[in-house]
Amino acid sequence: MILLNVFPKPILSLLWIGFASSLICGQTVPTAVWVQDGHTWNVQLQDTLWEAGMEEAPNILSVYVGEKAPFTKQPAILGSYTSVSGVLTFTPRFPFRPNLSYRAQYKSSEPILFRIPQKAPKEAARVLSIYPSVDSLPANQLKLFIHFSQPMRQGVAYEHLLWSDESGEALPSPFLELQPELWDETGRILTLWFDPGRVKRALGPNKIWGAPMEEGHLYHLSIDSTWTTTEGYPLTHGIHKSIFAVAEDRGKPDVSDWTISSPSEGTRIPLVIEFGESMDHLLLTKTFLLKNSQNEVIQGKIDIGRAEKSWYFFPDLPWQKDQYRLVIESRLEDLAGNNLNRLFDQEMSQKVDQPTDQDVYELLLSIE
Amino acid sequence: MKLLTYICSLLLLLMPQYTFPTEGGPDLTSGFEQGNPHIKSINAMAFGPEGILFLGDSHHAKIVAMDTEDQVSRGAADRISMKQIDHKIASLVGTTADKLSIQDMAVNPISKTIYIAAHLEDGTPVLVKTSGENLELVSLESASFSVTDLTNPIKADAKDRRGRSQRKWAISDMAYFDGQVMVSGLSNEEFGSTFRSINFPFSDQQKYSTLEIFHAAHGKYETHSPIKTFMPYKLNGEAHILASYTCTPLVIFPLSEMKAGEHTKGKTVAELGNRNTPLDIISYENNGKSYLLMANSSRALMKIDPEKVASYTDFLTEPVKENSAIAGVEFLNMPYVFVTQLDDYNEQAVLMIRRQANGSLDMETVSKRRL
Repeated sequence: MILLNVFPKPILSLLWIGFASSLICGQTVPTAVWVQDGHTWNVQLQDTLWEAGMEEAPNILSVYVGEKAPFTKQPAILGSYTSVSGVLTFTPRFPFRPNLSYRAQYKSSEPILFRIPQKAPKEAARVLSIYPSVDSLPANQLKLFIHFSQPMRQGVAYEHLLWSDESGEALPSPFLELQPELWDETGRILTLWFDPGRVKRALGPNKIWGAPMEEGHLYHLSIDSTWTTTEGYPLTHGIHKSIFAVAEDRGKPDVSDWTISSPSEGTRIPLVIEFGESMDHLLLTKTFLLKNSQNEVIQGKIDIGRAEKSWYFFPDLPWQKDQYRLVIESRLEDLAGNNLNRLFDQEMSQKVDQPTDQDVYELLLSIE
Repeated sequence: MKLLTYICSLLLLLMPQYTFPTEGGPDLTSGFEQGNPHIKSINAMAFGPEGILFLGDSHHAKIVAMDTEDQVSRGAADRISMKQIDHKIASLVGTTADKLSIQDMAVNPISKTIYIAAHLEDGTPVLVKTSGENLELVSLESASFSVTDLTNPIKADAKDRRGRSQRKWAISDMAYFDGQVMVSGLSNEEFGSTFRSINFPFSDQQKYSTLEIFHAAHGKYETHSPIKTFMPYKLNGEAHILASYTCTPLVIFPLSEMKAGEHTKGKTVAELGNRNTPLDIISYENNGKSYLLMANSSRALMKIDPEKVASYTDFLTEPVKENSAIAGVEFLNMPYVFVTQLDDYNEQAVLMIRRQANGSLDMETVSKRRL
C-alpha cells in the first residue's frame, strides 16, 4: 500500500484537502509532503511490507515528470531515498517545479498523479523602466537597459522582444542576440546591444542591412507579457517604448565640457555635474569616485538626473574645506558608445579625435 | 638570455608551491581542494588534460577547473544517438524541456564521456554526463576543484569602494591550449570584450592578456570587435587563434602577438555570411587530414580546409557587396542545419546536438567520412 502524506506548512491548501480526501476511499492515498526546510515537496511511501534494501528503492518507487510518459524510456527524476520506520521518502535532487504535474510509480501499479501548486508571487513581475529614459535617441544608439521588478528567466529574452516601425510592422531584430544574455548579477537588468556590426559604418552587416535606426524615423520596442520570472510568473502586462531616431552622435564625451557645481563648506548640498548630453545610465552609477586631498573616498549617494544628462552626489557628511578630485573611469560612454578615450566608430581621417589610452580622468573641485 | 634563465631558475627554487614535474608530467590537480565550488551558472565548458573540465561561470565571473576523475577509456560506444536530449535531461531533473536551456557540450577526450551543461528555469546550473545509453548527474556541490576569478583589470583608483557591484562578464567561449585556459567574454556595461589567457594550474599571480579583434579593413573607419567563438589552432606550425564574431566572420591572429593591454589586428580570412552568429568551431581529422567545422545560428554547418586558411594572403579589405554574400577562404555548406553544439568525438566521428526537421533535439555522432 502506498501512503503519500501531506503535512502542509504554513497553510493547508483547500485544493489539496479535496485531492487527498477524494482518494482516501481507494486503494491508495496519494498526497504529498511539504517539507519546511527548503520548501520542497517530497514523495513518501509507507509500505508496511517494506523489507528490501535501499538499493532496491528506485525499483519500488520512482517519480516521473508529466501525467504520462512523453516518450519511451523516459528517465525517472533523480533523487535520494531515505527510510524511517517503514516510510520510504523520495526527495528530488532538484525541487519539484510549481505548476507541473508528476507521477509516482509504485512497483507496477497505476501511477499516482500529483501537481505542485503555484506559489503566490512575492511581488508582481513588471518592467520598471527602460534606459535611456528619453524617447529621442541618436540613430547610432548602442544599447538599451531593461529593468525588471523580479529576476527574469534568462536565455529566452529575444523571443519576447519585438522591434517594429512607426506603422507597427515588425522589423528584423536590431539586437545582437548574444548567448549568454547580458544580465546584471541580480537577474533584473538586461543589457541589449544594437548589433555593433550594423551600427559601425562600412562593416558588412552595416553595408547590407543598414544601421538599426535611421534619423527621422519612429520605432517601437515591445516586450510581451508571456515572459516569465525565474519562478514561472508572467509579466503582469506587456509594454512598449517608442523611440524617435535623431541625428547620430559622432562626438567623444569631453570632461572639460562638463559643468561642475561648487557646494559650500559645511553643507550637504549635492555636487552636480551637467554633461550637456545624455550619458549611459548604468555606467553613470559605476564609473565615478570622489576623493579628498588625503586620497580618501568620500562616501555618499548617487542620483542620476533627468534624461541622464546630469549626475548628483549627496555626501554622507558635510563638505569640508578641501581640494576634492572626481575620478571618472574612461569606460564611461555616451548613448552611442563613445567613451572618454575613443569614438565607438572612428573615422581614420579625423585627426581631432585621436583615441587616447587613459584608465581614468580627473576633475578638480575646490570647496571653500 | 643566460641571465634571464638564471633568474627564472632562482625564482622557481624560491617558490615553495612549485612542484617539479613527475615522470608522467606535472600533477595538475595537486593544488585542487575538495568541496563545493559554488557554481552559479555554466556558460561554457572545455576539457583540459587528465580529465580536467573547465567550467565558465558568468554569474560569478570565474572559471572552475573540476577533476572529473574520468580518466579511463571505458570503451564508449562508437556511435551515439540520443533522441530528444533536452526532454531526457529535463525528465531527470524534474522539469520539462521548455523550462530548460542547454548551455554547452564537451566530450572528455580520454573517456569519450559526454558532458552537457544546462540551466533550469530559475537559472540553477545542471551538469550531466553520459553513462552508456543513460545520463547521470555530475555533482556541482562536491568536487575536487580549483578556481580562478575573472577579476576586472581596473586600476586601483577605480576600485570598488562603495560596495558597488562589479561589472559582469558573459563568458562566450572557452578553450584549453598548451597550459592555458583561454576565455572570451563580453561585458554587460561598456562596449568591448576581453580575451584572456590564464595559466593553468591557477595561481595567485594571474596574468591576463586582453585582446580585441581590431580591424581597419576598409581604410575609412577603424573598429574593434569582441570575440564570440574561437579556437586555438596551429597554422603553418604556429599557434593561432581562429575567432569569429557577427561582424567579423572569420579572423586569425598569431598567439605570439597577444600582449597584455594591446589591441591586436586580426586578419579577416573569410566572410561567411551575415545575419548569422557562429555558435561553435572545432577541428577534426579524417584520413590524416585536418578540417574545421563551424556551427551557426542561421546557416548550415560549414567545413573549412585549414590549409587554405593558412595559405590565404589576400586578406579581406572590402565588405562584401551583395546581400548575404560570402568572400575569402572557400568553405563547404554541409547538409546539417540547426546544429547547436559541436565537438570532436573519436577517430571516426564528431558529435553534435541538432534540431531535426520534426522538431526533436537530438544528440548524435556523425561519421567523419560523411563530413
